[in-house]
Amino acid sequence: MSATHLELAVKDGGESCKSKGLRAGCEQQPRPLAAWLAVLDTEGEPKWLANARRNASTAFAQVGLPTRKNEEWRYSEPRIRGLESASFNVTTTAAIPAGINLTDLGIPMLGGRTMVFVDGDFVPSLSSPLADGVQLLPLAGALADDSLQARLSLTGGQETGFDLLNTALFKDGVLVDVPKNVDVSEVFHLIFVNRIPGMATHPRVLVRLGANSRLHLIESRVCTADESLSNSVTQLQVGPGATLHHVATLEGSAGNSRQLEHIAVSVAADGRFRSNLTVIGSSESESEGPSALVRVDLDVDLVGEGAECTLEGLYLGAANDHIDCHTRIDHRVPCCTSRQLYKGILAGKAKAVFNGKVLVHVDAQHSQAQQSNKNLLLSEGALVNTKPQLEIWADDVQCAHGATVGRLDEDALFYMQSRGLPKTEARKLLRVAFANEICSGVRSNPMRAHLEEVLASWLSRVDASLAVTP
Amino acid sequence: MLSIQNLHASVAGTEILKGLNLEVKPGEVHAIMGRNGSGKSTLANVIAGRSDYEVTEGDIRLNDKSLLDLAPDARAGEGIFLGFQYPVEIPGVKTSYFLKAAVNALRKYRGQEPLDAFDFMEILKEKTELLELDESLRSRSLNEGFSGGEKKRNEIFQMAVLEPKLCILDETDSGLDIDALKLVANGVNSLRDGVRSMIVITHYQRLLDYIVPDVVHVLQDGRIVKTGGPELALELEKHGYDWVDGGAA
Repeated sequence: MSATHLELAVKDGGESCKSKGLRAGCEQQPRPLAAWLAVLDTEGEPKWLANARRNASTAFAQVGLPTRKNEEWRYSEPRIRGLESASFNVTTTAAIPAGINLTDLGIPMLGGRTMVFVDGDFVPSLSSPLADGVQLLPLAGALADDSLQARLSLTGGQETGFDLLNTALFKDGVLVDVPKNVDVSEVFHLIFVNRIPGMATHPRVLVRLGANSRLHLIESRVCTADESLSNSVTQLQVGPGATLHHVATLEGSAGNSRQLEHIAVSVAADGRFRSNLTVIGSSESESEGPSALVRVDLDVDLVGEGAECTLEGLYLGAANDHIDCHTRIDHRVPCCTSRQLYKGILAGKAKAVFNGKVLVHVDAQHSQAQQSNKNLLLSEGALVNTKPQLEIWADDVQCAHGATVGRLDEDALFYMQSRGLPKTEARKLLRVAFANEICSGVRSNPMRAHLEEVLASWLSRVDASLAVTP
Repeated sequence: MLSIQNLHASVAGTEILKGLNLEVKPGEVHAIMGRNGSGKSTLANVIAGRSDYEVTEGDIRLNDKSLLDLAPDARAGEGIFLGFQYPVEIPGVKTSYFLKAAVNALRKYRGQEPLDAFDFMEILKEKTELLELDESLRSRSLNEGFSGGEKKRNEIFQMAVLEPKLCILDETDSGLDIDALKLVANGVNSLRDGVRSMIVITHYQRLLDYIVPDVVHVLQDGRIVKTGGPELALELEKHGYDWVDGGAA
């Protein structure tokens, strides 16, 4: 663990009221989300943005939040039921206490460029934006640019109520622009921390890579706020011949918090997108009450010939966690390749969903798609719903998928024991090995080391709780 | 060293070993031969402590200590090593990492201090050279994607590093061509030091050309029905197992 201790600056209590979009929140009382839409204040914002917010707000009134009838949300629904009438604050006037630091929150210090948001607010003192050539900026400050209008719309027209809420209510976020032919050597690290109970934040991240450029983007999202909602939308555009390596970790360690991230990616001709996702529930909480929902929807549009994506994911759930991992890959044009490997370890009464959809459109000949989902259940009460969905409309393609749900291999345990390892250690080693296949795909050394550490500590906490239960 | 008396063992309610007796002295190499299904692999697994096998009668003692109540890892701690007929592939666990964990678990069992990384690497290097192995072997995931020959050589490598008192080699020759067989046999022979005992389980006489045993046993229907010197293996090769049937009748 890095010894760096970055203290958050004490913030001017009134600062967040100055942010656009939600001025009404200054005298705020917690309100239901729809009530926040009703008091939407877009004064001072460019017209296109005000329109976009109002349109989203109107659409939300029609669509609402997903219900059980929506197949893709069937399993998440119990954890979002009643959310529409739950009251939240959407901006905070609370100062960030001087005593907290990111390292204590389990966020690694990776060097490179960092952008930090706490409870939705940009924290300049911990951030290192860039404005020359390559851009890494707080989104709120860049909204005067009309060209962002097109980038804000989510392709495919499948916006859920959460997407619409994000568009209507996002206060800030990150804008990344990498011009063509630029190989960004520094890692960009985006950090989102939610600490204040009862807050709803809707961060928006817009990333665009120009032709033949390259970027390594890391996101750390940590939620320690009870009864909170983090509803983020991340849009990643990978230009022709460009390479984006995206590493994201989501950790929800608070009671009854909901952490949702929709990552929408488009990959142009010969572009490469590599995603490494780690989702961790709240193995701290042993209570019977509701605990975290963490849900990631990762949609990748392969829109140019020769585009490739590799999606690797690891989800760790214990106690009463609910983790939903959804992927959707659209092979829209010929000769694209997609690979997916998602692995899960579940203990306690945790539930997880892996829903992996691959659509090979009618013109997308010579597509190659592979999908694999492997799960390890450590207790009787743990549950995983794995649902690979391949829809293939082209006739000359190579597609394969597979899913396994199981316990540790007894033959492997005996083999290791016969060499002297006690069974508990053998189990531990096998679990670490199972998950490490995903961590090892992370190319940033400090990030990989961090993930390995997070994994080891999660497993030992789970081990301890398994030892208690007979 | 090893003393097995009247051993009865069953798997899933079926008795496989039916009163087996075996005495192995320090430094001796015993070969156990027999047809498929005679109980050879069961014997190996029962000595190592595999939980699917139930010992219903008799005892297995190593240096006068009963092993029956010990878990497989404790048996390893007492000095037992089983070389598997089918070594298990364990993706994601490097051979060197696994061996270090195993060595230190054994040391802990024996009340010894753990080895540090430097001392451990010295041992790995020494054993790699002793067995003329490729260095890349130990940095690969345990047995993952290994050929049959590589897996068996990796078993011998682990045996060399763990330095057991009693090695049981379960059909180490199966699936090996003659070159791989020689390499494995040379490895085994280099670990014969006059103190370490070995039980070599095999279906064919071929392996015993290279690992010359002190004693040969024929196992049939869960019992040892014939015991002799190395010449017994040659007789078996010549006349087949039916010859034993005739002799036993």
